[in-house]
Amino acid sequence: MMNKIRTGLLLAALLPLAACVDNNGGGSTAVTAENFDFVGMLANYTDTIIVPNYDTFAQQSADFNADTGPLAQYCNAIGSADESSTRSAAQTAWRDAMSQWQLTELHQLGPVLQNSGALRNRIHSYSRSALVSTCGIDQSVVIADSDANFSVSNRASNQRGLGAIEYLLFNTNLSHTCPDQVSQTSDWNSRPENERKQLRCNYARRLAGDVAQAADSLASAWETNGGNYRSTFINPGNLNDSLKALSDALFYLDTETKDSKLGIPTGINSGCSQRTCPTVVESRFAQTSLDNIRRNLQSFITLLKGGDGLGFDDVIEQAGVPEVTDKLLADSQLALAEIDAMTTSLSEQLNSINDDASKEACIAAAGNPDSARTVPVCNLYGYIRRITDTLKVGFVAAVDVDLPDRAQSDND
Amino acid sequence: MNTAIRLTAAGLTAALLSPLCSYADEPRHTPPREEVLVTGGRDAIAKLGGSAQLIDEEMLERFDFSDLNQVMGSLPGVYIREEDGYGLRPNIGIRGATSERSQKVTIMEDGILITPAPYSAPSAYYIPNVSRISAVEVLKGPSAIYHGPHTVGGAINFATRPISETAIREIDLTYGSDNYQKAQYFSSETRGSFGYAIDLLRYSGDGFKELDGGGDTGFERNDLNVKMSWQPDTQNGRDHLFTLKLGFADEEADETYLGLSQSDFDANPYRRYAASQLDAFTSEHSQIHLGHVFTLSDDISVNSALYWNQFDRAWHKLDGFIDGVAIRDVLSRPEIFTRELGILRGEINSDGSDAETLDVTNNDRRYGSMGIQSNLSYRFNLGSTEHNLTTGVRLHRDYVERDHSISGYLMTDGRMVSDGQDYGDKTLNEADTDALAVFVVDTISWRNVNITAGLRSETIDGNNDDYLSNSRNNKSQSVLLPGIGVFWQVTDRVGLLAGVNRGFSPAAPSASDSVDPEISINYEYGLRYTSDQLSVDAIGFFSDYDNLLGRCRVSDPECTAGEEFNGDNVEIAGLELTGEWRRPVAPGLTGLLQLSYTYTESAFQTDFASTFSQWGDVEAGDELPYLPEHIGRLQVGMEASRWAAHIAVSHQSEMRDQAGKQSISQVAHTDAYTTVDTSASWFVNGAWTLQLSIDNLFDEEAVVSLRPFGARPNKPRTARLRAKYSF
Repeated sequence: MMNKIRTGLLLAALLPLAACVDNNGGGSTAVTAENFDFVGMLANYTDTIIVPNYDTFAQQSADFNADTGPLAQYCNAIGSADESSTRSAAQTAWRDAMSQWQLTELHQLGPVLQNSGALRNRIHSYSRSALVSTCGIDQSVVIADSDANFSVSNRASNQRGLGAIEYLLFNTNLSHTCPDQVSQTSDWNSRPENERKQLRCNYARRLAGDVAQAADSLASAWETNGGNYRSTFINPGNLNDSLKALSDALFYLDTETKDSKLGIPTGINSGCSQRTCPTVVESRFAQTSLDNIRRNLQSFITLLKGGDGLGFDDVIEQAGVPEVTDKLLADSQLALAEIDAMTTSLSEQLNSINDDASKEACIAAAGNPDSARTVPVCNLYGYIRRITDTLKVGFVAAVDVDLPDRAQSDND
Repeated sequence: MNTAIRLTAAGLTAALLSPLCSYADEPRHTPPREEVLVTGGRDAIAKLGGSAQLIDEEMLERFDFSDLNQVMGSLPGVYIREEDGYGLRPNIGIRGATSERSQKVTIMEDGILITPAPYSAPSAYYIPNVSRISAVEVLKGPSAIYHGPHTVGGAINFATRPISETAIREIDLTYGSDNYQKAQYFSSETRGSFGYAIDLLRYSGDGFKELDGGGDTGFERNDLNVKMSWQPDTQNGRDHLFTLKLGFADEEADETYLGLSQSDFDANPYRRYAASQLDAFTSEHSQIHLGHVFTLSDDISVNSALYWNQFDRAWHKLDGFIDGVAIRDVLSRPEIFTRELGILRGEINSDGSDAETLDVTNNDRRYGSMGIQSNLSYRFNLGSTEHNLTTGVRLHRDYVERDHSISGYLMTDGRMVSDGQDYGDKTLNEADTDALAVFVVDTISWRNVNITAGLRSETIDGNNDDYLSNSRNNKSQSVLLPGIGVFWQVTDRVGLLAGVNRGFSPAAPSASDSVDPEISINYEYGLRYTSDQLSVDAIGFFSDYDNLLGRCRVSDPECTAGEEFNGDNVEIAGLELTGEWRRPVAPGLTGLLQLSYTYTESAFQTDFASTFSQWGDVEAGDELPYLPEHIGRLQVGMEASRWAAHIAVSHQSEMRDQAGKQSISQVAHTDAYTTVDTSASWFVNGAWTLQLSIDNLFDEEAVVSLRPFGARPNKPRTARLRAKYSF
């Protein structure tokens, strides 16, 4: 009997010998650095989108500025039989450069914003509060020709960059835009036409040189063998800041594309105190405003998806709300389709908002972009607002970032 | 020091010493011997009401390892994490307590706390050289309450060679791969009342790693120890044995925290990047231990010691970039941080920015540890029960002074050139602790049952002064740690054991008010089988942590060295299996088979977010990092009168680099690896022994750690030829 008891006790001791721990629990769907490759994602953005965009623009602006480039050829051809064709070629090159720059506007972070956006302002200072100063440019054209100590770097940002070059290259009105009391331009209108073309072109070349230099600095700032901001941006130690900066940058679509480029010109946005504000249209001389918006939207899609690599769409999917990405992409496609269907420029469409009824129709179209297209840019505004509404709610929740301060409220 | 501690200590010491006079008329007894073991030896372990293991001198001699990791790898419930391949700074854990710098284990030499500052800074940057150790004891579960302060896992005692009764002289010379050299001289004898032991050890190696651009990767250690004893004539039936131990050890090692990216590891695991070319560790350790064994009778003895240890070290080593990507991140994503990796390799020159300037920090620290301890053992009978009552008190003080100063270096054509800038200190602080530890344990024997019941008390007052933030932190901790273990000798061969104890590991003085000490309830149960030829222990354990502590090291990103983190509830469970079979297999030939295996599982029980990089964002159910699920060793040997040969196969499964529950293959992890060690000894005559040992016979290459910075290899195949002469 005793042996049986002992045997039983031995078996009882042996069976549960390896104790077990409670390894149940967890199951959180939070996307964290431990279950999502944010470093890889940031590297993908840097290496396949941001740096290539800056490199391409740097090359385009260098080509545009080259001694044998299209702008130089136009300057050299003024007064000759090739003037028209070379000017057209220069305008095309400018459009290409601006089109490329518009892609970069959606990833404003790091070097482009440093020193109060110094590099960006040298390249393209457009914003609702920094419109191109045509009079300032007219004055600069004269001073640059007469003052040996003239330096582009001393001029205000609204007299520099792609916007100023656009005015000099596309504006066919050779008269100055300054008040009579401005001494530098007092005799401008009396000068021979070719002289005025030449002086404007010469100043455009100075500006193109400045843009090319800034673009090179910007590209270099990101390059691994340059300023290597790339490492700072990707550094896992800066993950939260970098992710926030990248997320914030997407809100350019809200504050600039939607509001500055569409809302204020159309008068939908309270920033315009008149029925419409056509003078604040971006690229109004080249009439490429809608192309700029198209490129902004294309860039937004690329940035949302991370191109072909890891992107915000993957974060959102891992967060379990892929419908957020689906809606952003669907509304983006609707906005792009709206632009593609347009046959007139933004400035031309603004002319059709000429009474209270057309203004109300515009506002109604913005509220319901699927409704009638009296002024299609108003419908476009509505589609883009759908995107930015999703950005402000579904996107920030899925990616777990805060809204940028500038996108906290709407002005429409 | 806390007044309460002073008074209590004085009172307890007096209480321990004063009643001894009443035994003046006891009959003559066995003369006292120098106490180097804390378990009482192998026979005592067999009946212990808690688990313990002993590696004796014979076992140590079989392979003559100088790497403590290899020695400890033969013990169940003990986890090691290799770092430098030579075990210069071992990482040992017990029953799931983190192995990192052996910080959760109470480590002693001859029963005296030996790590630099076990309370104030428990990371064990000093551990005695194995070559001067004659036995290693490991105590776990309820057995560990004799020894603190860290009782969550257990305690390890390194027993030095005792003073010999007869004259012994030994010269022990070893030469091996990578210019490994070891020379040891041991001399000991007792003449009349006086005895002495001299142990002189020097060993060194050129290292097995290949530094980019050339340079040293080796080490050199010297260890000088003298023991003197005096046993005056018996007076009034009482014996005294006084022992004075003096020790000095130093080290110079070209060691680094820098590992490799996985691809570079795959290409050559023994490569060392150029950015580690200035890395060097230097240390000096001094110790004075004065022991006194006072034997009043066969039943009563008092074992006391005064001890003083000083440890100074400076580790001048790469710690990253001044203001750039953390090295761990560079090495984990080399395809992304190509420029930083190029700088580490010496292939790309630094551009002078902080992001590309190498941060070489001199981690200069000074430690001190001193105290007095006294244990009284009293055996008596009470009715039909036999009691062995042991009570002890220890008054201890230790401190650490840290001065970590930063230097900047620019990688220039593969060499590191100082940038001449003053970056100041990274860490400048001092921490000290006064601690009073008291324990009472009674081992009660009744028929075939041994019950060990005890209580340990730790009262700890710590202060930390941070001179960079001009802040001072005080940390007081007081804890009672009960434990009970039962061993029932069911049959002549089979015994059952079970035990439970409260585990504790104190928070450091620098820990904020929100950081709690580590507390656990540890359970163990199992059986022992012992016959003439076979012995088997199978012990299950379960540790239920109320709070697991994580401690930041200088190599951990996003925390400051010494910073501690609460890990809340954690459960660790497992099975320890040991077996030894020994029998004659032929006339004059004995076969030997030894097995040690540990299965472990662990799980955090709560969700929390931590900036401690080894944990990160933790969810309930996540497994602990750097805890292998399986670790085992099988040793086979043949022993004859003139020769012996042994072969040992060791295996360790993968370990995850960070807490998590994903399949280990999907996350950063170390490799599973199996190594084979062999040794053959020829006992030429009574004086000469020749031994050839080959570690890692099949040259297994494995990533054994991804910390501190990147993948680190195990030691490659190395051979050693040893000649030992006794005269």
